[in-house]
Amino acid sequence: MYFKCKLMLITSVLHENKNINIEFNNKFKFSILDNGANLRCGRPCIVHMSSRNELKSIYLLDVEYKPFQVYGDFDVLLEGSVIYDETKELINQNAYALQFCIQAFNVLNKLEIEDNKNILLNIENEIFNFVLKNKIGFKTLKKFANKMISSVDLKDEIKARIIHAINVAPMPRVALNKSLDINLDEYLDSKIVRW
Amino acid sequence: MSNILNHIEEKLYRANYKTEDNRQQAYLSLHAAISKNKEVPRVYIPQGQATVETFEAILSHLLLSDTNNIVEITNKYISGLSISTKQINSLSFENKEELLSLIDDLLLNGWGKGHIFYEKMRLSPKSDCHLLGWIKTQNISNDDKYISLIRKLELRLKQGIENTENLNKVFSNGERRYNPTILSKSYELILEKIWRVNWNQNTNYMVMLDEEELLSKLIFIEEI
Repeated sequence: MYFKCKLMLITSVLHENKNINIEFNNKFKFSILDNGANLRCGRPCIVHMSSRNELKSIYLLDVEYKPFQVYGDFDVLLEGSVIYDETKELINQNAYALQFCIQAFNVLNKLEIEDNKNILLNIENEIFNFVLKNKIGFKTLKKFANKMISSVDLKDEIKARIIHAINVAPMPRVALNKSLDINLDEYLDSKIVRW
Repeated sequence: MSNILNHIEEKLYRANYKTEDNRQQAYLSLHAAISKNKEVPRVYIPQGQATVETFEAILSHLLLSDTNNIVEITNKYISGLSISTKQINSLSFENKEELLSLIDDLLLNGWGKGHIFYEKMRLSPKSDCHLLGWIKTQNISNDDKYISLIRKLELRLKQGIENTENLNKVFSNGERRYNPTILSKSYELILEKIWRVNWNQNTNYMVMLDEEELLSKLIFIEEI
């Protein structure tokens, strides 16, 4: 018997008391107990749900794109699962968000990143949140991203540099056709299905 | 067995190179060309203590490899065997495997009895370097001429490892287990860039010999 899982992207994360309200790209919303897992917008994850649409397990990917479980008691990938890639519709949006973040952070130096780490991580989160939830074109998204950056608490000079970098960001053509990487070496009984 | 394989075997058997180093490198080139899509061997070191030439070649490689001065000898040895990579690629899977084991046997158990390094042959800001470890096992490394150079290399490696620690400090250890954020990747790239710029300056080490002479001694195969 195979379990059914889905490869999805996190589009929204909201911390509320001891809970986290998490939303995936297919509009599934769940509230789970905050166990310290680093759930962030734009992170790919593998989700297993019961037939009643109850969230049973969440796996995040590590630095080598290998899944590891951050929620749920039962390791469905170890038992054998078929993972359906449900990120295809968002590949473009994901590539845009990645491009904005890469361009924005590329213009900063070491000290600027260290001093403003939390604000910048928040910017990354916001960019993914907005871009993944709004299926609009690259140029229009640039305007929204810049508007959001203008309102954050950073030095004007840094903000100007980031805004300029996003304005001149080229279309990420290669990434537009690239599906998300996943490495199932540790879960040989599980398979990924892309369509 | 195909005619091409027979031809290669005959050429290998005759090994029309004058010195032993050349012959070993010809075998290694062929090995690299066959196993292109697998683990590609990078450098072959004969057993025991290395000659001054081999030692200096490896030391100079470590000194220069991060300064974009890597010499790629590439197909030189292959063409010396009068074969081409196209011919090698046309061999069947079984024939390639057979040829690989033949070369392995010659290099590791035959007259060579040496060691093939597959990776980690360059100093990199992320990982330990096997070649530097090998350098230190050689008696010749105690020569005054080389001590300061080896110390520079060790310092360069140490600073690279410190970079990783620095990265973990800013983006905590726990977070590194996760697929990194774009911000932490950007930070990592900055650290690497600083490391490279710092060590690419020639003033950071004294080049022991004339650069051209050094480069001509490099016996490494980067890519076929």
